[in-house]
Amino acid sequence: MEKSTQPWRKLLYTPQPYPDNYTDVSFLSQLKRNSTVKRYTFRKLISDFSLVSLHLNTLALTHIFFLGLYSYDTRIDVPLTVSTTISVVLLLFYNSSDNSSRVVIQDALKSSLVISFTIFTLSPVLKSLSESTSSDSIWSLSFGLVVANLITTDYHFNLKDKFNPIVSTNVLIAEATVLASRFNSDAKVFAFMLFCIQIHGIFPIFDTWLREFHVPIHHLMTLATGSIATFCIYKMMEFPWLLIWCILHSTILVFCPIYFILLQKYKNELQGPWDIAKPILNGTD
Amino acid sequence: MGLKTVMTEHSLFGFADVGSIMGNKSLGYTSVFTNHLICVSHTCKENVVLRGKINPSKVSVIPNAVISEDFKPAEVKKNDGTITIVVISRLFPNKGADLLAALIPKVCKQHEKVRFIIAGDGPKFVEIQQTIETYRLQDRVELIGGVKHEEVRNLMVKGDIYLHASLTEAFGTVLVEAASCGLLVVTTRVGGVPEVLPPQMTIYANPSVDSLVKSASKAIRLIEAGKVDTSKFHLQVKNMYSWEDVARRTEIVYDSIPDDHKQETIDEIKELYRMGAWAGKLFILCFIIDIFLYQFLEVLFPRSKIEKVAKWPKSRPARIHNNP
Repeated sequence: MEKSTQPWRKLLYTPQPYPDNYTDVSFLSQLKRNSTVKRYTFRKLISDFSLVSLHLNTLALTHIFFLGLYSYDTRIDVPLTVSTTISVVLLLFYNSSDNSSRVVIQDALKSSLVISFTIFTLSPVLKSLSESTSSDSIWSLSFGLVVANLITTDYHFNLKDKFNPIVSTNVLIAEATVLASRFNSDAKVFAFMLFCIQIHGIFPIFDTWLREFHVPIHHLMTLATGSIATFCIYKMMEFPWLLIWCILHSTILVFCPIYFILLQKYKNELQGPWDIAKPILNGTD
Repeated sequence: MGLKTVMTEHSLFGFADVGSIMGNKSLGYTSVFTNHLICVSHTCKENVVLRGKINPSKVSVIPNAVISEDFKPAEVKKNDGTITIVVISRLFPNKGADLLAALIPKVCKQHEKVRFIIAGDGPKFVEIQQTIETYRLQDRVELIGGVKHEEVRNLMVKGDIYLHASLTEAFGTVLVEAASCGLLVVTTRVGGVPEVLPPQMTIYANPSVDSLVKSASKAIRLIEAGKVDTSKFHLQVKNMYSWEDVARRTEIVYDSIPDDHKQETIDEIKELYRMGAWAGKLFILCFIIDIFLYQFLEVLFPRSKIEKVAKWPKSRPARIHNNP
């Protein structure tokens, strides 16, 4: 086909003196790259990654509590009082931000009593649950369940935004049940289960609220749980465990965010006229 | 097998979700063994080239066509003082059914004379039905449900304006059909739509309710004032999109593929390897398995035993050539 002075136009209804596979210089001119890419600040990323850290802290606290009860025969009242007090205090604060606090507190009180008594009644049953199973099987089972929890956890922990804790929390409660069945007294089973439910069931709800309205307290909680866990590991376990624990945390809090930022340069978002348009349903009239 | 292969693409896909990524990777795989691609619009071509990382000169743009005899305008224009807006679309979210549901009451409120005919079925059918009932528009909006393609013309000629609220469209054959029936087209400016019809036949809108209402009102005023002559649309469209033209252009594509088009296997493997860090290796594996499978099938059902399609009688294509 001979060259024409008539410029090519991106139209179909008019015959043009160009072959059908002609590619004009304007080809892909409407392509937009990375137009919706968010820039992440290091600060924001650390604060996001600290949620992973926080989850590890709560997991560690649970198992330190177990270790204390199981191997060191620690008293159950101190940790349980601390966790229960924190739960109640947070609950009060949580509800004071609500208008219909009276009803909510009543409901919360009722349901927590129900849960406590259920655990209390079930404690003897749980204690004898795995009497005929050897401890080794229990350790390996509980290890498997913790790994399953780490994999299935929804680490954004924002309960208001498509948060799906069903699998992860259930796996964790199952793990706690399995561990609790190793204790030799009903009181320990009760204390351990209650602690687990407080720290894995109720704490994430408070934490979501804290992150929304009281960010410093949330950071304080992260720091506090981390410090307690680190201190307990230092006291109760051998040095290599402490080292692994510290390396794990510094990886999550420092190296992962850095790596994440480094990966951003590979971002290659393509947008163009072929994308499904976003309908604007209620614009300004 | 070394057959000449031409692929036709009618759809637009994004890049962001898992389904698209899988689809795009397999498009890349297929394109290695495809000699040429045909897309229905320039936007579609841009999309395909990006999705499959394909050389743009391997992609031709040949639009769809309509059988204009099947989409003739009404012989007698009705004249009862009303203006009818026709919508024929599957009622899916990405076809703009939400926009449609929101704009119908607004347009009806602004223009007393307007009637709607909505044909098509889909998950949003009930929602639109409820909208109509909420605003008590039962006698002004006719909701028909699914229609057969043969009935589309008879529906279209009842209207004056065709409204298209889709959020994505590679070509939009229905727009051509509507214009061919002598309807003024109001459409969202998405995908390949702006390439399809000349400005005198269309009024564009953004995919927002307000913009669509504004454009629809503009179209209604134009029709009321008799400022657009829709009677010429049919002939114009007939000259734009005909299957004879499509066939001729497709033949050019077919003939452009040389007989020695088959690449060396090693070159094909090299090309596959470039498809991606993981995908490339996977593709090579698939390709090698395919080769073995082909050899196996060749033993079971030898190529020489497979009956070929009979050649088309020579006189027919010649007539098409002479009669564009």
